Amino acid sequence: MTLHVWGSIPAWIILAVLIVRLWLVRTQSASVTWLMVCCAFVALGLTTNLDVIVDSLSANTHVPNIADVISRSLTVCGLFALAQSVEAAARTARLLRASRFVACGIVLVALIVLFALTDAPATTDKFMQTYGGQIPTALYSATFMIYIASILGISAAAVLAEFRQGRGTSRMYWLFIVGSGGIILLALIAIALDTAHVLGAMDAVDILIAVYNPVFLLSMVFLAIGAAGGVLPAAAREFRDWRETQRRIGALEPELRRLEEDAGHSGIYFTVRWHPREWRSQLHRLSVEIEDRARESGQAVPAAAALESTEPLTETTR
Amino acid sequence: MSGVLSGSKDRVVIRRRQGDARRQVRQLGLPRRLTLTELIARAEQTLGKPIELQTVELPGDLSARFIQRKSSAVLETCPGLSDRSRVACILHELAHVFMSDPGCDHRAYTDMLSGRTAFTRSLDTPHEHAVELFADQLAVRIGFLDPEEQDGGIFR
Repeated sequence: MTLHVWGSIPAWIILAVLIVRLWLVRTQSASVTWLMVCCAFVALGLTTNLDVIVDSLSANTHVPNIADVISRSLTVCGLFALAQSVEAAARTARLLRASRFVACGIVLVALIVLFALTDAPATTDKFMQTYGGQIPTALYSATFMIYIASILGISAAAVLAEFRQGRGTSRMYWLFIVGSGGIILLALIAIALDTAHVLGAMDAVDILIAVYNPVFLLSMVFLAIGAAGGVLPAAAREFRDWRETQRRIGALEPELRRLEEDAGHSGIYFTVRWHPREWRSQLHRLSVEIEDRARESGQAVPAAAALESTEPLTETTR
Repeated sequence: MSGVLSGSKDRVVIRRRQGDARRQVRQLGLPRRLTLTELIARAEQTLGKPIELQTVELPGDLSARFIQRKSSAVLETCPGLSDRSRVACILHELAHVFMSDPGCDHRAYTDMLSGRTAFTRSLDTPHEHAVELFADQLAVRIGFLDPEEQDGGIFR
């Protein structure tokens, strides 16, 4: 396996956790949805460097090394999704900001054009080491790395801002910031490496490659653990809430039926078709209607229905 | 058999109303998340007058009502409601406002109307069902159902 395929493993792990979470709980924030898209693209992009895929894509398309440009394009899309994930967490998120789409589009087009300008007749799983001495290839690599470093820099700055606002951000997020710093360092190393390669300074190339590999792998691990630091505790909490809600719904539905009979009429709870992801709305309606029917029939509200949340109400005291 | 058919018909109607409620709330152009205070401010904008919240004894089984005056409106909820029900009542009344319910839009010819009971919670009419579904969508927007997520956060 190549270095990049090893680097895909943390992204696959986070993606698997997010898929299991979504399958069970059916709800997630826009930020987590975009993070999921990011993990999928980055994991696929890095896995495209697997020898068998590299050879297969070249053989089927008759374009040597096409796997490299596909891999980088998928990774660019993944990083675009990461930027969206960070934006989605903002209270006034602007996910359709044209500049983001334009920047991503320009990078993708530049990658394809520069790849087409590279003279790389034989397929290899060490594309940059083999053909990195050409100026188009160096620009191709630099464009890719600068985009990735920019997105991670912006994302790390947003995470830092969360720390400053004291929004209960997990300390694990520091690893995301360290990982982002690692990728920015990696971009600098890659640009230096490509420059040395173009200039024919092969001793420098050897030294920089030796540094590049551990920085890449460690950065990927830090990024994944750092992102997981936010996702996993929230996922665990969401799963606990979902399980508790399912238990309460099971216990409260017979109560509502009984109270409807006693009150002599019913609400809309039993006629609504609840989508699995609407479990919170379902419990809300169930609790509200239990209280209505209990009041109408002069009975006490069953204790299990008295789930309270006072935050929005407190705001109305004005 | 007719009961089964009636039940199925009810479900189809409710499903359509659920879709309508989601679409109508989307069309309001509200932020993805906002506080109840901000939602009330939006309702005041829509109504063109301030809304005052009051907790007062209400007649009969009433849990809430909405009264419009010439230059202001009063949203009354009865005492003794749980926080959840009280917010549900407020959201129901605000739903009437956002739905431009003509029943709520009193053109006052006296200084104060006796008030229209916009929220009986008995949900006797199809329109009140629609309003209630609309209110449930508003509850999602104000983070009432998942307060822990109200602040959101990166990757959370």
